[in-house]
Amino acid sequence: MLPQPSESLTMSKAKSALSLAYRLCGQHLLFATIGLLSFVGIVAMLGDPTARVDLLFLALLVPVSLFLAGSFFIKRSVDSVSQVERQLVSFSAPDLSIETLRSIPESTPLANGWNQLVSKAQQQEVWNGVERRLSETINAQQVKRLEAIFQQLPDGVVLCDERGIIIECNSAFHNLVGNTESNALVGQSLLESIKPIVQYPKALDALEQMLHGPANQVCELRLSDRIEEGVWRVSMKRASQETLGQGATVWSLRDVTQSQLAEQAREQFVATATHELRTPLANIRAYAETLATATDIQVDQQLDFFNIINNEATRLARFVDELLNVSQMEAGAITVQTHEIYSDRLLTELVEQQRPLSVDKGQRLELLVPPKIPRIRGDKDKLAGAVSNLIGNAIKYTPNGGTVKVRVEYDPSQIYIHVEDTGFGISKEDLERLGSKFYRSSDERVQNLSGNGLGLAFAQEVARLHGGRLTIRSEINVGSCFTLELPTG
Amino acid sequence: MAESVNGRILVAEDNKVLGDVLRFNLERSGFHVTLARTGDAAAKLLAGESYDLMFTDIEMPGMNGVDLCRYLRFELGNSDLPVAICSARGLEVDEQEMRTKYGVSEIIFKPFSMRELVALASRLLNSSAATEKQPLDASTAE
Repeated sequence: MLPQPSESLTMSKAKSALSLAYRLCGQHLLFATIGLLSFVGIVAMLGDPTARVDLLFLALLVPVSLFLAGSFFIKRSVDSVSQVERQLVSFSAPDLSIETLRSIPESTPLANGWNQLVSKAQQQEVWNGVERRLSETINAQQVKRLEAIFQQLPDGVVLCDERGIIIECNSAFHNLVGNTESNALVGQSLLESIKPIVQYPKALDALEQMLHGPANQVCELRLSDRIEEGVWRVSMKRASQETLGQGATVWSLRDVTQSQLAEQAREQFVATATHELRTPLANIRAYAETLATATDIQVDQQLDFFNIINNEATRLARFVDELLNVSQMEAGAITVQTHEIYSDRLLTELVEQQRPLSVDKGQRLELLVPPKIPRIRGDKDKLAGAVSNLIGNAIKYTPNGGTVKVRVEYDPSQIYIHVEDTGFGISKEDLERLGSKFYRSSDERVQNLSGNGLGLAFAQEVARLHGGRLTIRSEINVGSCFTLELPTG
Repeated sequence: MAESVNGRILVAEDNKVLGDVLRFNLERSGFHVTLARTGDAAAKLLAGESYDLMFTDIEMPGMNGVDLCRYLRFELGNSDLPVAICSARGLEVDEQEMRTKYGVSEIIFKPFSMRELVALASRLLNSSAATEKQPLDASTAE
């Protein structure tokens, strides 16, 4: 509150007190003198025997009425002062507000001063109220904003009390545990709320340990022995602020399944790449060393050995090319050189290249191309690589004695190259991830065959670069159909 | 040196090209080599025949090298046969576990030298022959 009102309060109080004292003294003196004089007059009349009784009565009446008149005037003089006093006394009670002060309906200087003071104080009070309401609104908005942020956080955030019971949690946490009812989890224990989606008992034990462990912890929580089922990064901090409660814990849970899967695929790739590089290298080294040391080998056998070295070197070179293609794709630096391509000729070439592999497995490899298929514009090497990968995969993942069919269809704007097989087929969940780099199906039959998880990623990227796409249809244990759709040019 | 041992070696290697050259080199050094193209085939051979040394790849379709060692040591209960493994991966083999749990004597990584391999085979066959002889000598001394 401003200092001015209190100053003026003391000033007006002092002024009115001073003048009031004078006034009261003056009035007292005046009436007392008149009363005294009338009393003396009566006493003088009582001494005079001729005095009449009615005059005596009159003489008594005068001082009495003077006394009454004096009292009336004095009361009027102190009336406003006593009002002020009453109000001040009542205001001294601790919980009374300024609003209980009333103005005095008089026009004495005291009343005027008081009224002005009261109105100023009330005005000030009104401003204070406005200020209070404003800051309340602002605070409420801030709380609302913080709440919205809390709910919008991508990570699940949970506040638990010292026993691990949920006090507060956001919607991301509800999503994580698959609960759609808001606030249904409050009051439950954190462990109980997570339990329904955890298939790995160790995960709950780990959380329990965190709850009773040190104040700051981070762990990676696997919900199941399969990464696909979910991996969370859980961090826990024991609250130090009193506002959150003694021993309260704040948990933040992030779903890191995707990055874990990517990491797993990368690790698998490193392992596969090492394998793919070392195997032909081992063969080259073994045969070269044998040729160098065993000088008595027959010429025919020497030739065989040289051929093997040549084949293994080719295999190594092809793998390095694929690696390079993928890393270029990753950097977005792959370039497409466009030429007119006679796809029927190209496909015949590619199928014949792969025929020995399918003959080894006793498979039928068919090429069905309708007459007069339109030419396509594109990068011959890259398209050949993509189609080769598809045919190679079909042969590889189809059991002995199966059939692989390369079939071409077209309409005015597109050409469709289907590579169909009667192979293992691809499960639904594998289908979703099949095109991603380094990913290989977890199907045991696939894992038992070597492969680097690059072929399909490459084919997909090549299709995209040509303005087309790669689509896959498959039924497990029946077969798959990979279709390369390319615009005709 | 190698010729004097004349041991019987079981080689489990799924890569046909590598298996052939291993057999070629080991046979030239005087060993008797049986080549198994899969882990399962090797397991069958182990159950029926007796060998002086097993040399196995780790990465094989079906029964892999680790499975094969487990089968040999725990199901067949054969703890004497020296085992050497070769792996194309430098990452996934837990060498310590292979040595302590499965009694693997040597681990070599592709690409390895044929001379190294022959030397390794001779050494393992010699040392196992020596440990077999020792108790014999002791019993005759008594």
